[in-house]
Amino acid sequence: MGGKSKSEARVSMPADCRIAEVGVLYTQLRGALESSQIVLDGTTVDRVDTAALQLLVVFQREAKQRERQLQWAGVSAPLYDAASQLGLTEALALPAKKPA
Amino acid sequence: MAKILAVDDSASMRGMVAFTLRSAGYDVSEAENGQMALDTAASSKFDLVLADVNMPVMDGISMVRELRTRAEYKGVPILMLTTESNTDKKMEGKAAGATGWLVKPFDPEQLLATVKRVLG
Amino acid sequence: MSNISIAQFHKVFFEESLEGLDAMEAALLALDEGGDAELVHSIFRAAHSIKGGSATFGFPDMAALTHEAESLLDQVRDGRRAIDKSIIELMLRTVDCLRGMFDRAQNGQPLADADSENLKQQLAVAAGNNVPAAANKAAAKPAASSGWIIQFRPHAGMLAGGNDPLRLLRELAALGQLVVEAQLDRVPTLDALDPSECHLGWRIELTGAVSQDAIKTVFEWVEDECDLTIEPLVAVAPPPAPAVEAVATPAAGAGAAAGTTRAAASSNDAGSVRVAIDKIDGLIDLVGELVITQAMLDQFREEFDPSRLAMLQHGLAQLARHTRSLQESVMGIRMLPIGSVFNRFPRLVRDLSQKLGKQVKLDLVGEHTELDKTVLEKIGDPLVHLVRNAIDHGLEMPEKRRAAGKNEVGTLRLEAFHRGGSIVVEISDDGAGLNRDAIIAKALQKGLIKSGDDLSDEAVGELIFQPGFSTAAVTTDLSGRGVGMDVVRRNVVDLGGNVAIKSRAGQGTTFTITLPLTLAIIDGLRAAVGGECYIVPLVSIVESVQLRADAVRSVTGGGELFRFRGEYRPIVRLHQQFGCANARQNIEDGLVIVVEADGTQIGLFVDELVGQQQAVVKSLEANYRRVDGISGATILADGSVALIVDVAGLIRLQSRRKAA
Repeated sequence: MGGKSKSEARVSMPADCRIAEVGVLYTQLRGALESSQIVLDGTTVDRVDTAALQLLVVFQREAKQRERQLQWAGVSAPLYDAASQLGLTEALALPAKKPA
Repeated sequence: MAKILAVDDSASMRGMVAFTLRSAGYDVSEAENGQMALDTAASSKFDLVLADVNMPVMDGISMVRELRTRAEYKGVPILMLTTESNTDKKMEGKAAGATGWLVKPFDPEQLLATVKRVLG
Repeated sequence: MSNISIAQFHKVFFEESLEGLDAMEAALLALDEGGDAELVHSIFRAAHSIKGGSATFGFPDMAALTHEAESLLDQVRDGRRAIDKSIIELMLRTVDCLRGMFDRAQNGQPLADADSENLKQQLAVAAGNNVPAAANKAAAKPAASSGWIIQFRPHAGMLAGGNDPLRLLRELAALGQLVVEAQLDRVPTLDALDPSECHLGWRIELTGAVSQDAIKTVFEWVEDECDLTIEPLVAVAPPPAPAVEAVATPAAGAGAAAGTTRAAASSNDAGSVRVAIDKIDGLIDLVGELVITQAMLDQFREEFDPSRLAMLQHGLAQLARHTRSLQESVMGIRMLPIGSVFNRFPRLVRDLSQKLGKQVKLDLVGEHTELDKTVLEKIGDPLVHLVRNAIDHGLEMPEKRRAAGKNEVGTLRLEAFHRGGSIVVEISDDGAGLNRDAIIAKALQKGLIKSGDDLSDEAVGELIFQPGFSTAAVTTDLSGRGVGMDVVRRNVVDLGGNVAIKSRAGQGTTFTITLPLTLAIIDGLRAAVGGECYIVPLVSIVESVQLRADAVRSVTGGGELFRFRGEYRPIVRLHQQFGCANARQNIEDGLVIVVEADGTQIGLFVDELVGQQQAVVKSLEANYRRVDGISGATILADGSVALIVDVAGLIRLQSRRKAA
């Protein structure tokens, strides 16, 4: 495990967050693990699928294991709905309340 | 609105599909065979592809197989327009990478219901 | 939205369909001339498009007709069935019928008529679709349940194929109340993750009055792309397990019984034939076809509507075709490779050549050529005789061969092959050839000929087949077995075959045995004599002629001769030969069938020719007793018996009569 930088990483999820685009997000998330604090911004997510949510689940686990601080800057309604439908809100540590 | 590519060598069938979907507000492009569909799909990304199975030049199954090798068509729904007697074709299409199928004959309502189901 | 008019596409549909029919017709005609697979594909495509379009645009009659055509074409396309004239004919009729339907559709008339219904039926019969569909849907109806537990685990590739579990779960949510529990146990580490693969699973509780079918419909497209179980929320009693055992026990019993049967069969091998599995499979297929045809013809038993005459004719033609195929296949079961007979020769040749101090190389060719079992059993002895003969008399001693500039090692070749409808077995050697002078001398001595001066080589060769003829200058213990070439020929002729000889001095001799493919069936002409019917084998017939009275000459001793192709031939009056009453006596009232066997021609006088037919040969000896001039009997279509004329036998009788 390499030394962690004190910087904060911010990953903004794209509006179209589905399997064909998920490769970019994957790279961004792996890069973000170099930082001790990571902020995920899901405010602009319009379309999301299982592939993207699975990636976020795996990322959450990895971050927890590496003791990174991870928090959501915002979760769009489509993102929340999808996670909820798939029974992943807990695993993704989404805010308990559905955003307006 | 979602972009749909309708592929069928039969002008009447293709016309019916395109007309129905356009009436529902979708942005529809048409192609006469698999090869033309591949060309069209390269210049513009579609949210859904509806393809006949039996077509000259390139059939629907070869088209699906080819389309699935393109990164931007990973996970994009592709439905085969097939006939009930062609159970093998359904499976062949699935094996090539199709998402599902729409059984001919279908009426405009059935077509729209399926498209809505796939596009959400 | 629900008021979209699809009628606006009718015109385009008609136009493209009529074009499709033109293309289909052209392809069918090209196929009739012997085309390739691509033609079949284009025909299929045309039919397929019309089927899809007609169903979509509201022409169910047309869709139903093209559906039948398509399923027949599908069988051709898949190679399950070979394209033949009857299919091409049916398809051409389909093209015509569809054109008529389009015509009526454009005029707003009803599409189906008697012709189209009739054709649809024929297509269904041809495709084997008239068999009532198996009762698949009789499977236990899913019990209504107040809810379901669904265990759903997608395979890794499901996401890339466009089926998103999110969509599927949303569809389920539309059916009832969902409690979703994601299963993360198989999720890999971030480094190991391919983000386009799925490693999640779900346990889903669905409550509400939902049928299992409704749930299955949601998962319809992904059946093969996930592990899925759907169980009622309230547990139901599991099906009784012992049922499996109950099935297993009789199966084991049947196996034991089969084993017993086989043991019994092998101990009684003389009467059995080993048959390759593919031959049996072919038979079973054919019987299936017959059953279908029978079912089709059965429809006419109850009532016959003259408008369906074409269909009846079609059914009968089909029946004839299948019967013929079945006949060929059944005959095929009796066919065995000649290798089993050839196999005994290497040893025989080795022993014989050593004994005689000759060097012989044996070549066996065509061991896989198949012969009727009976022919095979009876051809062994004649072959042994010819092989002995070739080594004994044909091939020279090494020193003699050397002196003649030949290889010291002589070659003896046995070859079997098909020629036309016959099997040919050739026994050839590269020995000295027939000793013309010795044969002529012997024949003169025996009084078989008066002079040898004008004899052709063929005629000299024929001499050795004469009864009691022996050529060896010194009778060796090998050939001096009292069996001459006359017996060889007799045996072969009894099998319905013939032996010919060809010899070139110093270069060798070839015996050619021609045998029928099978003994059980012959092609024959049916001839009426008095009130009776005789079958004359087609292979023996040269011509049939009507003679004028002045073309016939009586000879002393009661015989008659007629002039045919410049030579006089004896006439055998079948009614006299077989004692038929009420037959025509006047030569001008009847017909003379010129027949040939063993190189001799005679004329058979009959009342008239009735027709040509295949006859299944029944042994007369086995059912009655041997009759001179008759080789067997057959049952005619009306159930009566006809006798089969033994042409070679009649010729022998005739020559004996002449000699007497």
